[in-house]
Formats: sequence, structure tokens, C-alpha cells
Amino acid sequence: MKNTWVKLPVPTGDVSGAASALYELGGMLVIHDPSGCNSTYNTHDELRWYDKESLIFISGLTDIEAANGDDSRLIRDTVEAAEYYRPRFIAFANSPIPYLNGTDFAAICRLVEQKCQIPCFYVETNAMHDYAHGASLAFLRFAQKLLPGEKPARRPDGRLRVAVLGMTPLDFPARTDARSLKAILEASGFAPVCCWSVDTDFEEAMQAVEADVSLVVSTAGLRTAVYLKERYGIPYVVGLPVGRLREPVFEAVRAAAAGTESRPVYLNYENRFPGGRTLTVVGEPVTMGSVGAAIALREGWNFRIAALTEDSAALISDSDAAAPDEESLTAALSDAALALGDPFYRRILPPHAELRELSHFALSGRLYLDRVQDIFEEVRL
Amino acid sequence: MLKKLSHRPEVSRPVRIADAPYPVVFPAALEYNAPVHGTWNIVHIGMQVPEAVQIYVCAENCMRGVVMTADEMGLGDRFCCVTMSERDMLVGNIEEITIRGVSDAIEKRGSHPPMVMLFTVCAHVYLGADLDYIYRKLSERYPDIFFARCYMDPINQRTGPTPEMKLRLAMFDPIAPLPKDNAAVNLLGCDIQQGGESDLLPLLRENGFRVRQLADCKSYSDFLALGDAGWNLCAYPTGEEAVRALAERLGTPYLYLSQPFTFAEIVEKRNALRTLLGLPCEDFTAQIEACKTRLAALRKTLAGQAVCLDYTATPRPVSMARLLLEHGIRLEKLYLDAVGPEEADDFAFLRAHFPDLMLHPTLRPEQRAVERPETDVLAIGQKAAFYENTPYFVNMVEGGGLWGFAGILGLCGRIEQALLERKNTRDIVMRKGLGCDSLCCTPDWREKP
Repeated sequence: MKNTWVKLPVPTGDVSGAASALYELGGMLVIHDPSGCNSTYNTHDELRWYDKESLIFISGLTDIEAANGDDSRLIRDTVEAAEYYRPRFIAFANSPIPYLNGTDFAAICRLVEQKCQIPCFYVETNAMHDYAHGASLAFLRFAQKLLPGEKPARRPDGRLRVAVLGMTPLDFPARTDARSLKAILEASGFAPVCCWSVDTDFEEAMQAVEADVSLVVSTAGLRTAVYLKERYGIPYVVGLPVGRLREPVFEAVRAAAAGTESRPVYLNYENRFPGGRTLTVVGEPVTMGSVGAAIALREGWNFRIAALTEDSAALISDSDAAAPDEESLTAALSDAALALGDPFYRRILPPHAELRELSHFALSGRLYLDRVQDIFEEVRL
Repeated sequence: MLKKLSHRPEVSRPVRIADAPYPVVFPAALEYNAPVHGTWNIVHIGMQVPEAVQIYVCAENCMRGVVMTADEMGLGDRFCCVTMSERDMLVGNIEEITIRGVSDAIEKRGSHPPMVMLFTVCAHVYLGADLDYIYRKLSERYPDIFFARCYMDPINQRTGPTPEMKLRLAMFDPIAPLPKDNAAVNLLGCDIQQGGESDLLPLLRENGFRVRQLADCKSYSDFLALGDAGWNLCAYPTGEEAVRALAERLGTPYLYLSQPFTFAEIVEKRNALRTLLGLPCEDFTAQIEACKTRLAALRKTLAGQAVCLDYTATPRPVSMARLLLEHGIRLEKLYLDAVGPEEADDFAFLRAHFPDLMLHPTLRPEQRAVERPETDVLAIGQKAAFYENTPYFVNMVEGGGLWGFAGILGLCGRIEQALLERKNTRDIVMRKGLGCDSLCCTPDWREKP
């Protein structure tokens, strides 16, 4: 059965993904859940909880409220907390029981918005999807609700403005990741306008519509990039400017600004070296695909992706594997001789296979944080 | 320090105990979860049964906390997950999915454990899953495995027993009656082992009894051997129902010995135990005097130092507060959200005699933004240490193995030790399950200078 996990932990779920995405944006997230979601999130899926304030709460749904479809306490308590904090926005995330009883979050949002005069939106999680799915929905709903109606006129700066989309500590757990990317962009002549969403506050996030190009750095950013393109005409590029992939990514950014779009940049380097050694990269496809491409270019290897995230179809090629469960991951790695990914994957690799470790917070949580690397530095192998 | 929000009204909700409602001191609201995790959860508790494997059938996000708990304990090989999708819940047959998933997990593990703790969840409750059918089919398929009925259904916990209480009940289910050993006493229901800072062990041992706690069980057969006990005792409230049920099944006398902190209650409980065991009552004068002397010395050592306390340190925080205040310790704050039924008398006493003791919430949403300047307050318990932002604290949960006069002496010693030792509060309180192995890292996200 594909839904049995015996050797690996399940990756971070969609509710935590949504919370991670919205963490720094100045809003208040209410997870409509009996208990546990917030503790799970802040213990295992959030690095910032102790050190950086964010308004993330659970509703404490009870059996009687669920059975009666009684949302009155949820609304009352949300309004009370919102009046106390006056956040920039209020977001609701869902969990299995309110999902099963069809809680009308659209109506709840309207009511809360009327009472508080604070923008309110719903992130349609249900705890049955992975973190990237939840984060990408949260970014999208945030964009749809809060970005301005029109793209501002271009300011005569001369540099191409880049909005980074899809960064959360779940895929970028090194504290320096966001500032490293910003520094790389600036050093290469670009103007980073925002990074959704690490080290970016509400006002900076609003500048996404001023970008010339969106740079999608993980699965979580793709939905919003598509929306920004459709709504504001902002093209996007998928890939990380890491190692020897840096210039190809920046070339793609310039080409996108000039009207030529491309598929995910890293996919252009999958099978460059026929007969060469093959590296299997495992995990979130944009980050691992980009790192895989950078290493392949450096070493003269081929690489392929075993994609952990469920929304990976547009981010991998036919020679890659969508592997969002333990059974698929085991199959994808069954003939691997050399792999790159979280230390946990050692449990499912063939005995002869070699694993180069790059810990993934959304899989191994707090276990291997002492091995985290700034992904924008050359990955040590 | 937390990064400041731009807007923060100066509102907080501490309340004088004289003005506090009972038993719910702070009304329910949106809940904040402080980054303080030393108390044990259902995974920690269940892992005390040697060789047992835990299998959870639930949605992916709900699974994450429990599976990572097991892995942080280094016990991931005794843990399996079966995730459920929308299709499983909406158009599937939840019973069949559960049976197939559990069977698949058992087969993939390769060897059969003697016991599987199968945790069903809120969705099973809400969808009306036929749990009898699930357990019957699994038991027929795997007759060599005992399937314990465990629950991770927090949706029911405000109107009924918590998942933790139900787990404690279910985990003893495999223990069957054995020929009685009247010298064997089970002391069960609490996760923190009692030792030298408890009156119970010396009392029992000096009178020829052998005491077994769960931590003494090194194998599943040790665990099953608890069935030969002549007596069953429990000293922790969420284990009370479980140990009482075990005693009834084993046909043994049973006594609940809630952690006491006042001399009168200690005397009452010790005498109750002696009566149960057929022992004569004692004269406790010397022990009471020893405690008074020790508390006076502690008061002198503290020299007016402010102390605060929270409910995670002990199941009897109000009673502990009473002990400290009655002996001149400057207890200023008590962190709790509600008062347990065992504490009614102590609560009434404090209201009458120490009306200015301030009660502070832990779960209210306002707590997220409460100011936490670093202090040198002496805290008892992890949540108090977190909220007071102090490196000086007594690091204990669930009563810390303290009981009776020895417990009071032990508490005094721990407070004095805490005064001397500057702890890394952040790293300690972020770790789950105090006393369990903790393999995690707790890096700091704050801006580096």
C-alpha cells in the first residue's frame, strides 16, 4: 500500500506548510482543529517559533461543535484575538473534521471580515496533503486576496527586478539561505524585491507585483508564479542559482524578461553526459533538481530526480520519478548507486548505494539540523 | 527575545487568585502553544511497553508530530504510519483501509511484535468506524499479536477522557491475572519513575514489598509479569482510571495516592496506604519537623527571591503553591489555565490566605505576545521558565518523582540546585519528553550580530 510508512517519517503536512508560508507576513492564521496541529507545527515543522513572533493559533474544535456544525465560537474567538492584535490579515486553515463536515469557510471569512474590517481568506488545507501543497495554496490565497489590483508602472532603475517565490525554512532551513540568495541576485545585477517568505514582511511582500520576473525556488512558489503571470503578466523562471547552475538560471531570468520562457532550468542538464555516473537526488524537486544539476555540471555526471512533493508534475521530466510516498521512493531508489538527499533515505536505499547527505527539514525535522548547509554555497560532496 | 509586532496593546490577563473563577480560571479562546515540550505525549507513554509497536492511522499532517516524536526518541523502528486520503475518508471504507494499512505495516516490518498499539483518530470517531470489527479482524489475522485499542482523538478530549488517559487504560489490557505474589506491588500510571525523593518506595521496601514501576520492565514478559501483583497503586491523576481498572481485572486492592504537598494530606495518604497493607499507623512528628526545618533553610537561602510555578511541573500545582507560601517562600505567579478537582481545597485555602497570588494563563492567545524580558526569577517547571525567561529553574514534569515528606525535601534540594545552575532554557524546554532520549537539534533563528 502506498500510504504505509514503515521506514521513513511522513513529510511535513499541508497545514504546517501553510503556516510556514504565512509566518512572517504580519497576519494571523487560525487552524480550525481540535488540538495538536499547532504543537506539531511549532515543534517539528517550524524553526522560528521560539525566536520570532507570529500569530498562529488553533481553534480547539470540540466533538459537539463538529457534530452540530457550530462555528460560532470559532468566529467569536477569532474576532476577539483579531481585535487584540489587529493583524494585517486573517487566514483560516482547515483540518480533517471540519473538512469532512463541510464547514463553510467562505461564509466564515465574510463574517469575520465584516466584524473586524480586516482582510480574511481561507487556505483549503485538510491535513491530507504535503507541506508544499499547503504552502503553495497559502501563498496563492495571500496573493489573490492582498496584492494590489494593478501592476505599478516600472520605475527607471535599470536592473531587472526579481521576486523570489516559494522560500520557507521547510526547504531552506539554513538561517542564511534568504540573505545568500539576495546577495547573489544583487551581485549579478538584479534587484530582489521580495522573498516569499523568509526575511520579508507584509510591505515587502506586496512588491511582488513590481517584479519583472518571478523566480520560483521550490514547489511552494509555482502556483503563485502562475497567478502572477496570468494576473499581472509577470513571467517566471523555475530553478535556484546555485553553483554552476547560477548563470543558466540568470540567463533564463533575462530571457523571461525579454519574453522567452523556459521549462525548469535544471531539467536542461539531466542527461548531458551519456555513459557518465548518475546521481539520484531525492526530495523537493526544485531545490534538489537545481543542486543535482549544479553538481552534475561540475562533475560531469548525469542526474535524475526522485520528487517527494505531490505537486511535482510540472517540475520534473519523464526520466524522473514522482515519489510522494515510501513505496514510490523505495522503488525510485531501488537501482540507485549514488544518491543525494536527507540522511533518512539511507533506510530505503539498496545496501550497495552511496548516500551523500543534504538534510531536508520537511522530512527529518529537527533530527539533522546540525548538518544543514546554506544551499546557495557550493554543496559539499 | 521575540521580534516585536508593530501593534501590541498592553493587555494581559493575569488575575489574583482571590478574584479567579473556579475551576476554569481562563476562558477558552484561540489557543497558543508555547515552545515548551518537556511533558510526555502518547508516543512517549506508549513506548514504555517494551517491544510494543505503535501504528497510527490518520491524515498526514496529524501524523507528523507523533512520528517525529518516535524518531527523536531513536525508536522509529517501533513506529508505523498509515496515512488517509480524501478518497479513503469520503468514499472509501475506513474499516477496510485501517485493516489493510495495519496489515501492510506489519508485513513490511517483517517480524511480528507481541503487541500493537493501534491508534485510531478523530476521523474514525466522526465517520462512525466500527472499531470492534477492525480489532476482531486484525486479531483473527494475527493471533500472535495483542492489539491495544488506543486513540489519538483530541476532538473528544474536552467532553471525555483525553487520548493520554485512554492510552494508559489500553496499554495495560494485555496484563492478565497471574498467581498472586502478595509481596509484589505495582506502582503505575505515571511516567516519571519514583525513587529516593518519594516516601512510597522506602515505606514499601522496609516492610518487605517489592515495588515494580513501568520503567523496571525491560522486556514484554516483564511487563506481562505485572499481572502477579498483590497490590496496585497509582500516584498520577491521568493514570488513575487505568490502574484502577487493572486492579479490578487482577482482583487486587488498589489505592490512588495523588501527589500531596501539605503535611496533613501526606499523613492521611501514608496512613491510608499502611492501613491497606495491614501495617500500623506511624508517628510522623519527626518527618514533619525535618520538612519544616528544611523549608525554613530554603526560605533563608532564597532570601526573598521571587519564585513562580507552572502546572507542567506537577499535577498538584496549587498544593505545591500552598506549601511554598505557607512556609514563607515568595511565590508570585502560578501559571495554569484551570484547576483540577483534587486541588479544590488547596485553591480555597489560597484564596482565603494568600489572595494576592497571581494566576497567569498559558494557552490564551495574548500569551503569544507577552513581554518576556530576561529575569533571574526562580521558576519551577518549564512553562514558568519560558514565560519568565529565566535560566534558573527546576526542570521537572509530571511531579518529578516527588512524593510525601521525602518529596518536599527533594523539592527544596532541587530549588537550591536550580539557584546555582544557569541552564540553557531554550534548548531544554524545546525538547520533548523530559527523561526520554532526545536526538534533536534546536538551532537559534535569531539574527546574529
